[in-house]
Amino acid sequence: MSELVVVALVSVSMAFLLAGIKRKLRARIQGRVGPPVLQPLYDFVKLLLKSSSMPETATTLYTLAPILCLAFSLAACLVLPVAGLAPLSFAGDMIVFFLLLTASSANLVAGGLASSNPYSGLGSSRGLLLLTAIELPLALVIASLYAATGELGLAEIATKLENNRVLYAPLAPSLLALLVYAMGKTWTTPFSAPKAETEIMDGPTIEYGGTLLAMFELSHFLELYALSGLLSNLLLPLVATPYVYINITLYLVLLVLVVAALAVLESVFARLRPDQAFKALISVPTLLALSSLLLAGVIR
Amino acid sequence: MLREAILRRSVWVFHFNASACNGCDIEVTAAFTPRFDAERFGVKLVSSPRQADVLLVTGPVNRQALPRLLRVYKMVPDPKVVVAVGTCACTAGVFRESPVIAGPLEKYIPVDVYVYGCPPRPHNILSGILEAARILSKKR
Repeated sequence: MSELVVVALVSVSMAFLLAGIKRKLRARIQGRVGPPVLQPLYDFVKLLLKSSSMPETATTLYTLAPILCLAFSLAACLVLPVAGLAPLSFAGDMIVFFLLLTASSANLVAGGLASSNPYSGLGSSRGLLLLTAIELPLALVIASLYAATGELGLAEIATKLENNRVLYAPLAPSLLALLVYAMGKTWTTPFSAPKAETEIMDGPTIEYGGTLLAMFELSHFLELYALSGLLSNLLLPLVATPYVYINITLYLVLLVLVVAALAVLESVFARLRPDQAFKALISVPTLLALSSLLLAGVIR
Repeated sequence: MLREAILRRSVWVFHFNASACNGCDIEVTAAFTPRFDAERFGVKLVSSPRQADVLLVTGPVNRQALPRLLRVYKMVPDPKVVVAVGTCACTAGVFRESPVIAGPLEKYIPVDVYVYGCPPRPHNILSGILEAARILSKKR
């Protein structure tokens, strides 16, 4: 029980911190000072202090979507192990992890469609396009992880990788594909077409304010943490030690490194058009994951 | 006290062009570029009045823009602050006697900060937004 509380606390606090670090890094790369690292936390609390502002045509789905979005992303973060601590792990929990993240994004898209605003409708349709595109490489990544380790649980895969570090050789393209998956899932540039501020006024969340927007924001931060945490958990066995506290520190360092990579990629790339983004997401990570699957099959 | 600290550090601005000539709008956009870097104060331009704390209005309000302005003002949730940017928004400037101008901003919505200039410099606009943040933190 106390392990679950630790995982929940680490998830939420690292969600805010990682979002802040990403924003600060992006600002520094652009030659600016940037907001303080805790700025996402300030924004979140400020949104909770605002009164509600809803469109007149708001339906029940409009209010329900952010709540479900937050619930699913929080559940995904609770399933994710924290450097060995895995209170909610069970057989096949990797598939449930990805299912929960997809459900979270589906609710974000649904909220945009329920907002009766043409901009949010456009953003939602672009978002659905990208979410569909990344499902194919995701399936191949899961298949390659299973082919290499024979396990479908996150904690078990990490243990297998720790005992058999040579498995990293065939799995390296898959990990790269997972990084591209993380970029496509959180809609970070170059795949930020659903949230194109200059084109469609911030996309699905345009009609949301106050507490409901705070839920969407927290859910976005948790999604960032979940995907960085997934990559960190898969990379941790490379550098793991027998000491728990050193492992936890290495896990946090890996989280920051993954987020730094995302920040650099975000600052360097331009935004792809929706059709370009679809083609890129359905080809590049698919080829990487497929090569990983074949190499893993050969190794076995 | 915590509420005051949070409201001063996270200020989301919605920019509304009430029939302005675009001169002030260009300076507002410039204030958010890396040279002046409004983001280091926690100030962010948002795309929707529902997400905003500060309503930044440029331009003398003409008869066509007036109902839209009032609607946007209602969409901004409390606590909110209004900043009039540019001489036209503050006093309607040279257009005061014009038959198509409904009047300066203060005739229709309560204005908290006036940033004069034609157009005002970006650092003046930014200092106006920071003043608005201070006023916002004191509002209930």
